[in-house]
Amino acid sequence: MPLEIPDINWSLLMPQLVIVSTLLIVLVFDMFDAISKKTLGWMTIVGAGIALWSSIDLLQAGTDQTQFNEMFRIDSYSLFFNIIFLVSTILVALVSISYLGSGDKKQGPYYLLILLATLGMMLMAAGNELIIVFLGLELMSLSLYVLASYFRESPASSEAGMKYLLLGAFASAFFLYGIALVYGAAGTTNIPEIISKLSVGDQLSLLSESPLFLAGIFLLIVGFGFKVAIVPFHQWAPDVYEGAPTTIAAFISAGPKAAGFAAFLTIFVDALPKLPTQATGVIVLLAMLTMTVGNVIAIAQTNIKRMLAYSSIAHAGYVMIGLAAANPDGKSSAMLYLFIYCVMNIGAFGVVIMARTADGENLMISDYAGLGFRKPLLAMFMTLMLLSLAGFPPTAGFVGKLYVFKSAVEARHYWLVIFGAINTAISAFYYLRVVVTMYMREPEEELEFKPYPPTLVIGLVLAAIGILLIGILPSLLLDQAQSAVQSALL
Amino acid sequence: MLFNFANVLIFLIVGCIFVVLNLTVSRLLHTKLFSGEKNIPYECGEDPIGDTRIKFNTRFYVIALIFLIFDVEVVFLLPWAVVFRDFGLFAFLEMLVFITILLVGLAYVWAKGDLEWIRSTQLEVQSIQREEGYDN
Repeated sequence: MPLEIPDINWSLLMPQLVIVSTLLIVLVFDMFDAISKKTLGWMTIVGAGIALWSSIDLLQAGTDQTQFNEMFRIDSYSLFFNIIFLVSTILVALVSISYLGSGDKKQGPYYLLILLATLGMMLMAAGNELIIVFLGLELMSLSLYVLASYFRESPASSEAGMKYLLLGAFASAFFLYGIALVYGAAGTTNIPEIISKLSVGDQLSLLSESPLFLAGIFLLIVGFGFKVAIVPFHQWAPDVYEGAPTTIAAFISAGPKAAGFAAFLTIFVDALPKLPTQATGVIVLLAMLTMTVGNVIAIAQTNIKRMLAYSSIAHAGYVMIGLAAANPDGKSSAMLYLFIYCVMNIGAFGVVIMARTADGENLMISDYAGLGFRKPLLAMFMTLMLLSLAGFPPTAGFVGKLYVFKSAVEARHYWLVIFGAINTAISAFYYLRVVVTMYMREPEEELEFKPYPPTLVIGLVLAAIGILLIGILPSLLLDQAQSAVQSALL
Repeated sequence: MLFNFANVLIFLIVGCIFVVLNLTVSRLLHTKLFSGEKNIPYECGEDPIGDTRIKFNTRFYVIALIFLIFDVEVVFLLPWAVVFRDFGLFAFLEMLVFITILLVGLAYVWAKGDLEWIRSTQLEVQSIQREEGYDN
């Protein structure tokens, strides 16, 4: 039987190929002890930068194609997400170079795993097939389990890695079982085909009400729920963020969450209108729960990493609003929100690293007392990131929330928007509390801070410029996101 | 449909015969010397009977992982070899890239000393001296 080799257009796969090549180059250079491990960090940044450039290039060329027998989708949607992942990777690598220092001789795998995780995320966003999505999910998750326990002599870090591994593996099993059931009911794992099978003409098909299919869909929601940390599948997040190295906490809260939502949005935004209304009800309920639980528990936190963990759970809730809206606007506003969220969250974790003292990390919120005048640069960055997370204009956080709420109003989910608005008010309390502590409290003891490392400051300046730029000129990104969603509709 | 299941049935019967035949033949042929070591199911492995909470070297994990990678490589090589003639140069280059990537991985494992059964403890000590603060 003659076999056919599918036509492969290598130029379309540039972003992924660049990441794989960077990975191999870093691997080779890591073998030589003579080469400073910081060089590996810079290589990671350059590689991700080239991949970012080629993603933008492909995006501007309006690429919309599938590769490998329709398993892999290179359109503006996946390219937009590539930009989110690569920007996160670059920022995290910049922060990591100074966080890890050059004393540790075993730093190579750190950058290798970050690159591998990035590749996994890109696969998830480009997956046109449930199997590819799962493959990307596992590639990403397995790298992150190891990264979370990177400080292996620290019990907290090992605990974080172990918890993440056990719960993550559990979630993957749910997800895979969901895929199996959906495949059993629909007879295909190709996402557009599954969605097209849900309706016949204007009528819903039998498939959309088949119990087997719905069970699969709900298992998929559970699997995604774990990965993007939405309530009630969020318990791992605070423990993992607290124990993992701060740079990795920033990474886990940004890229992988965006990747989880990338696949979540691909499947559900188009599928939700064709499913029984209860499915939308479940998404709406999860969004409300996630926002409320995340924000309310964040108030009680005294550790800043845990506070940021609960805040990131709450932000997943805001993205879920866009998902529940299930219209093109909801999709594009969720994409915009994820981009903004990634930048500001990595920024906030970056400031936490910046506030390190000679004894180690300064994680209690009370330790930030009096920093406003003693450390003006640090306090300024922190204030900007927190105002953006709380959603104050003219920061990007405001723009993100505005468009997400707007899409939900268009979809007539008024209660969801009211919930979101109340939650924004609740969140302002704990974000502003840190700002108040910094500017209006006197410190209990004099802390000796370390000098700011240059790469960290570069990373934070980039994040701050990004936040203000998107806050003032949101159309820069929103237009891209909207055209990405439009192209997916055609 | 029924015919397909007939295949399964034949497969099942042949499978059973295969097992019984092998056990009988080895029973007839093996030497009749029984000693303590000989009675253990795996002469060179862990004792399968007893408490599961026994200590064994964690290096087994690393070796198993490395083995797994090359095991999968062979699984990929077999179908490739079957269709090699049809694909020609393309398949050759494709597999060359694949094996090169694996070879880089093997070199990495080697350079990092993971192929040594007994690793110098010096390496471990270095890694524990983690950077506590910044490095400008």
